Amino acid sequence: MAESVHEVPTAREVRAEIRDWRRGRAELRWGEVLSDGYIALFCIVMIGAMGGNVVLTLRRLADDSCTGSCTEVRAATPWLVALAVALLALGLARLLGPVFSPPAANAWLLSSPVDRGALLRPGWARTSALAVALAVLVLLAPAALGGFSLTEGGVFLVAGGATALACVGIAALSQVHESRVARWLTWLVAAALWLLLSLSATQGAGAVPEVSLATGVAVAVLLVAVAAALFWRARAAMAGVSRRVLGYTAHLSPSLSGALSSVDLGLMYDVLLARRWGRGARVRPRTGGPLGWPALVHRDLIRAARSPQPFVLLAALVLVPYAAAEAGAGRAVVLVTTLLGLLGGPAMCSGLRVVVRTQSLARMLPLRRQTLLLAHLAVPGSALLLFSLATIPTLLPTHPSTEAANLAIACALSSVAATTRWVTGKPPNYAAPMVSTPAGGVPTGVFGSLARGFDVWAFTALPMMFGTGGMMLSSVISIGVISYLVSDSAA
Amino acid sequence: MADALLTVRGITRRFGDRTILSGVDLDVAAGEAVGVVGPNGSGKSTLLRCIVGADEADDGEATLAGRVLDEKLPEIRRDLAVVMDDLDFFPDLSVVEHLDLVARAHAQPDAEEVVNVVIGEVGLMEVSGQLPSTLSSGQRRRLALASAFVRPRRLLVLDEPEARLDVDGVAWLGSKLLAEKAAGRAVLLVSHDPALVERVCDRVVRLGPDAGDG
Repeated sequence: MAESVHEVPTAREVRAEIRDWRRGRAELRWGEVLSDGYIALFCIVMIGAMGGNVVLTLRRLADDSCTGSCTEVRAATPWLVALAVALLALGLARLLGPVFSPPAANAWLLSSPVDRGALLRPGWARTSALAVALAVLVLLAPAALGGFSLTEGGVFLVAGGATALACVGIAALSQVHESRVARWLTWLVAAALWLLLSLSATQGAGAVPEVSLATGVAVAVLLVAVAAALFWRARAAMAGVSRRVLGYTAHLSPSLSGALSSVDLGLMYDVLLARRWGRGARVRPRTGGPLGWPALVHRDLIRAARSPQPFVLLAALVLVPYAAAEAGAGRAVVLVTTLLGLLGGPAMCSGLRVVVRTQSLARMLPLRRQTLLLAHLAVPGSALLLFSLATIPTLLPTHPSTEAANLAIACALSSVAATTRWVTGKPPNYAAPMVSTPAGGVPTGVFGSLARGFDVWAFTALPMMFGTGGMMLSSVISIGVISYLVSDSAA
Repeated sequence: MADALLTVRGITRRFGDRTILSGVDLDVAAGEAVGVVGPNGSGKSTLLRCIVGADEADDGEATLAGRVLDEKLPEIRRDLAVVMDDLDFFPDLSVVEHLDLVARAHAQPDAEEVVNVVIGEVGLMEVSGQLPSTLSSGQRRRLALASAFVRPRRLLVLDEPEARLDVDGVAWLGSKLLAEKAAGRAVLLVSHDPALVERVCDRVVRLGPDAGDG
């Protein structure tokens, strides 16, 4: 019997068929789609107008009041943010792929003889467009605050968008070819950012060279050309990517999307933590140490030695309060210090997060919840205390030395309290009564989870701006919050 | 029968209109092993979860050595070693570091020696430096069991400990539980393996349609 020969469908045909299935299961009517679109557009315009108004007001204030070193720091701000955006683009791209396919597509489609590159290219185009759009959006504010003219701002945004695209392109090529280029570039950009931050924090921001419009245009054109070349090279390389490489990140995006859809930032943290340690197969075991609860502190020290990145990052961030002080933030420096403590703190609390989330682990250990959690707070708390103490010189212009030292300790307490609040947060309770919203039933704790940690930060950081009494009040609130969060009643 | 170490009286658990456990009584003495058997959904794991405090019973209570079993109390956790189905580990600690941490947190004086013996018994020596995410499901089960044996304990509560173990692993588990009994410790065991239950347990409690002591 002659064997029948079937022609392999094209990627376009496969996508058309999938689209057809999805449309067949569509539950929304056109009227509902239009209504949702209108509401989304209205929200974007309204939030954009509010944000634009804030930025323009800040620009007017800066134009009127910024003099001396403040002007230098202000001029350096767009470059600082541009480097930070490049770093973020590289970091996120390396984390999420940036070339990725959903697990189902990875299992069912990429194993078929359909052209793999053609299946992946639409996703790559979407990722690239998203990177450029987000970069431009983030850079709008520093472009306006940096004192650029309209033309200069436009050139800056084009260059910034192209840089983000170039970074994502390099990350994609590194992923496909399994090279370390993107990793090295990440370190290079981080070093450049740190150097520029150092200049801003040490009255050296004037050393940032002024760029003429012609040079700026030339650099922007060059960046656009490089970004376009990288985009096309990555696009062409898609066909050669292996399923193994795609498998590294296949489950990450759906997991993060799931956590984001329930606004559960703690779950996102858990997903990223599991991924971080899921990649390393073996470590050099370290045993021994003290008995009882100090054994937990000892394990946290081992964790810090094994994965020092969060501590190094916190140490590097110490420059930011100095830059803020240089820009004339005055008493508001404490807000910057404590906010950085909150942003850098959770990454150091992986041990605390695991015992809070995992009851079976807590059951194994013969310790009260209070002892268990406080033991896991010892190392990150000490790091936050050292971080705050290192910012004492930023407080000296506005406070006597003893008061500045006390204020730094109050800053550390505030950071520890806000971090503990963030890390010990509970997931949304879908079993409890929900709030009816246009998006359907929503658990009551969902929206509050976005503010988790920041609420404690606001309550404890703001009073510190109002003298010794405020500092005392802040310390009392911080200690009270920590005591409650580690107690049995908060379990 | 000797004085009971674990006493369970009138444990009742309902999920909505459905009563899973209705007034379950149970005693386990030191040096005794009691098996809990029954079909899927008969409430075996629920009973253990209520006893160890992972779930809250609607009625009834459990006591350990005369003290109400409240798993929040360190004194209770010191005596009670639990291996349930929820196998969770620190993602950044290796196999041997997990066991060493559990032993040291329990202030086990000869922690290093005990960990070395147990890790050899459960057959995890070769993977002692590996992180939990890289272990097979059977190796993860062995690690969970090992965590119960590296620490001081008076009562072992095990929920289907034979699950995911190979034939040699189940044979080792049976010998280990017999040794636990011989050392004067109490064992409460939920299992679907009749051979393991018959080998280890002095008494069997049946849940479900054929409920009763055997």
